[in-house]
Amino acid sequence: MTTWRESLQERVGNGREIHFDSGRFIRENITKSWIQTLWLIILTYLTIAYTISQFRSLPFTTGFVTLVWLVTVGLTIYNELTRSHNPMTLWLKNNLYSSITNTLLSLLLVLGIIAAVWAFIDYAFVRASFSRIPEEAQAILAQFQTPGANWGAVLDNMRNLMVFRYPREQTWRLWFVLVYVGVLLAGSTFVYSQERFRRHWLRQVLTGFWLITPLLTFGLLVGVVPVPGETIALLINLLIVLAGLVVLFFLSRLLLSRFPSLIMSFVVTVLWVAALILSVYRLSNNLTTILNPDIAWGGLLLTLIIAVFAIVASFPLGVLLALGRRSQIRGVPAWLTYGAAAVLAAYYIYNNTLPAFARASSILQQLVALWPLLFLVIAYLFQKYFRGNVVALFCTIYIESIRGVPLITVLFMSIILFPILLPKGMEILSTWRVMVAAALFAAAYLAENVRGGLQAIPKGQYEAADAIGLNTFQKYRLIILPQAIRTVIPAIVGQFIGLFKDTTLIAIVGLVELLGVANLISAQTDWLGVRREPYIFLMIIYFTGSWVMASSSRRLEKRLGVGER
Amino acid sequence: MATTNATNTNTLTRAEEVISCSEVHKWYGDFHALRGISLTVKKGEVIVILGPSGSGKSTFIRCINRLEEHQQGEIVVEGTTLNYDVRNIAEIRREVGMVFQQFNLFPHLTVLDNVTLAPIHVRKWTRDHAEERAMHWLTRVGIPEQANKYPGQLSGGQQQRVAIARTLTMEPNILLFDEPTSALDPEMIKEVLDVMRDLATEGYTILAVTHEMGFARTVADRIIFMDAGQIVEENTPENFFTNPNNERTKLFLNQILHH
Repeated sequence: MTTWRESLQERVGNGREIHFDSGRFIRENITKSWIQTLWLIILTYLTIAYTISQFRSLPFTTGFVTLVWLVTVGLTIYNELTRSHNPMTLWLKNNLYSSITNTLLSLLLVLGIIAAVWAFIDYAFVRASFSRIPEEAQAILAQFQTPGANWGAVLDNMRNLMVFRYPREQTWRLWFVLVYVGVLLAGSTFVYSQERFRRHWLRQVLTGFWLITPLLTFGLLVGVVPVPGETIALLINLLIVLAGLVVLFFLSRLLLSRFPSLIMSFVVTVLWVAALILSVYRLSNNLTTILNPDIAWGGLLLTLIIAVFAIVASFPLGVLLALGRRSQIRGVPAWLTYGAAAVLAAYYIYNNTLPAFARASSILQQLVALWPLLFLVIAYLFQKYFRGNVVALFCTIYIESIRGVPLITVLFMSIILFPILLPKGMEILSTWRVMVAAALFAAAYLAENVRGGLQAIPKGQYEAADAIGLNTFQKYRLIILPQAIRTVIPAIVGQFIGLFKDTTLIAIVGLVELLGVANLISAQTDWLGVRREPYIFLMIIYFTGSWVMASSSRRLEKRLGVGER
Repeated sequence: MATTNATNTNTLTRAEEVISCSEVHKWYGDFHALRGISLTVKKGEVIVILGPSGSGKSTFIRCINRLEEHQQGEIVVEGTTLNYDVRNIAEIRREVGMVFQQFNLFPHLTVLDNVTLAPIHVRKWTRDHAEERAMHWLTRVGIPEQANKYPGQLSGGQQQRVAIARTLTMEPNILLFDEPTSALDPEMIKEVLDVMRDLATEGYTILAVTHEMGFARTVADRIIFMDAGQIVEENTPENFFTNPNNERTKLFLNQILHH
């Protein structure tokens, strides 16, 4: 006599055996501990309650999802019992329905996600107004019980958000720069990513174009023109500068071949930097700008300019700081350090301490007057921890002090302190100060990332590079830095993404970039009080920018074979 | 301590001595790693340095191309004194090639780039010339087909042979081997030793630190036994293995020849 269980098994199982010990299942998955039972009761109640409430607001979707869930759960259970999974139910069993909790949570989460997405679509599209006329927008929104988004605020102010106060008659400059950078970018993506172009002249031409792009875009955006009446002077100065650079080129080649050493490379680099600064200074006397960057640059334009400058400028600086911090060069000898400290201490003791002692009225004042002894303490610490290595000392102090203050502090200092430090009469625009401050800030963080990468290179690489005869510069350029930077690409790109978004802090120091414009929109009479929509737009822009950077970095890593070679 | 001058140096001129070290001392902090090493190597000689671990063999070899600095004594390589002068060091490193125990290939470059890197940047050859010479040496060591692969895709023996090709493409006069086969399994050891044997017969001056006794016995012109930072014994291979002079050497040979 077959039991009802066996006959059920036969009928349902279609001949396949069902292995199910219901007692054991309940014992292990439901009543194992009272916490588990309690949790499952709560979860089941929440799921049912949420499903019913969602059913009221979105009947079709909820019904569909619940139906699909029920069917797939049933199928998975059936397949599990008969031990014959197809790929879909196997995946479901392993990923979504692996336990009772997970099964219920799957339904809950899918419904939750659908609710969130629908709420957003509802707010942003269904109940929203896309009109750019304030009155019309009000009329449209008044139709709904809960008004949606007022996109008119963003659409009407699109030009403000993008370029803020850039003069309308000069807009062609923006389009020119955009097209130029776009074409260059498209060409580079094609040429740089292919192996067969590795040493092609086309690639070198493109690299040349990228090198002049900063100056070119700056010149285009602010309209650099010769001062009227000084065109001839400009041409003469240009010739002088070019001749000087050519002479410097051959001179540096001569010096480096005669005295190949790290000191000479350093001297030559300093000479080149000085020469370039002098050239710019000399030429700038004959050039003038049509537009003032402080006024003309705003909105997304300013964000991009500051972010790109900070990213591009901080990278070489950060690498140099990292190398400097790790340098092993012979330092200042001990006798020189202590000697200089002793001389300074003696001088200040004679000049400051002794008179202060005479005037002192308390122990505290006497102790404070002994400050010149700190020179000796500093000398001792310098010798002990840096072995007299000035480069490492400077790099460490720079990195640690910049990392110790927030970006906003650095920005404020740059805006306020800079003018005090400059010689009288010399003015630097806020835009430049902020750009330089952001670059210097990022360089400190980047230096630590690169230093981590340098530490990851095995010592054998340095030795092999030495053994085959490469000098220090070649060793770092060809062997060490390529490997080190490949290793820390994720950290560096993360740093850049953070920097891109940190440009929003500049709104606090007075420059009006993207966030600044977004804040101003709600103060306009047309769009008074409309705050949410500009921020949503900002969110989209920053997300897109970050996404583009992150995916480019993934592609770059793949092409460089990071983690594979 | 047997000095090389005991053998028939009367007929050899000073110009034939490619490496001469006299009373070389090196300290690592307080640890006295090299205690007065004096050695002369003639052109074309194959010298194998044996010794227990910690005896200073690798340290001594690495002093010759300035991967380590010696504090006392003099090292002269092909007429150039080894000191703090960067130009001297660069000159010596151009003529002295080194093969490491851990291969130390550059993982981000292809095999061909690994081999042509130094000739292009140090000897200033054109890319075509460097590649032609590189392919010649890669063929000589037996792996021309691996030229466009990355080191990570090669086996240990192949990597070590690429390292040897990288050294040879620079056309050095002196080759230093720092336990080249210690990181390889027995089958690959033979590949590398065959290459080293060929190089020895072609007239390169070779200083090898190795534990391969068979290689030492058959290929070496002189065997140097070091212990605790000093040269304990210098001898020809036959005499060294059959009739060593020093007690310490006998102890060492007893230990190793009974595997």
